[in-house]
Amino acid sequence: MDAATTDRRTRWGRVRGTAGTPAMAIAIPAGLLLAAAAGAVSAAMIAAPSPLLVGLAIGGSTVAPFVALVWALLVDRDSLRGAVDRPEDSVEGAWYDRAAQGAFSDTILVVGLATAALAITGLRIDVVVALVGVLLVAMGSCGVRYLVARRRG
Amino acid sequence: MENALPTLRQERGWSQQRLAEELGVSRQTVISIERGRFDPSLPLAFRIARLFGTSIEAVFQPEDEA
Repeated sequence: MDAATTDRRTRWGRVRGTAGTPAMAIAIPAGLLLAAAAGAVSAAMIAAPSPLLVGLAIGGSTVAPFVALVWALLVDRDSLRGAVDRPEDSVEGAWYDRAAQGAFSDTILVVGLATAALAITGLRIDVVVALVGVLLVAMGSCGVRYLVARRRG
Repeated sequence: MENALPTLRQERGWSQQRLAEELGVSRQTVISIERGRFDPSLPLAFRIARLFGTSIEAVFQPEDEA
């Protein structure tokens, strides 16, 4: 990558396929709109004494995730300051690959043991709780394994 | 895998950051390769050898042959 391209890199980058639109200039308003929509839908659908409060809580708590999601979908990674030209050859990619492989094994193991435990005891749990549990195990395992790999260097 | 990367880099007076920029990878990648904790991909090994004007065998040696 030439020096001119490197000089044009910014902290939050530009939108993919545009001449130079800052990614945050799109991500922030789009994230706010999506959060407002999520809040409105929640207020309309969740039965609660104060639907407005529910809408504000859901909308407020989802602003940051929605902004981050839109930014991640739109940003051209080559326009980010500090981005390497060949991430596929960097050690961080190898750490992530190892962490993801380990997390997959961990998730299978935990889901298998939990399924056996539920089958033996006859306990029943809510599907949403089960799915959230699987998600947390997978994300937690991947995160911890990545941090361990990074610490080992 | 043993490697001569620290020696080759220091002969040129390059920092790890400079070498990382030349190769298009992160500085941590260079650190990990130099410590022998990360074996580079074949394309990266070729780029390293080409950058120093030598062969892959001159840069990297299997531990049992080092």
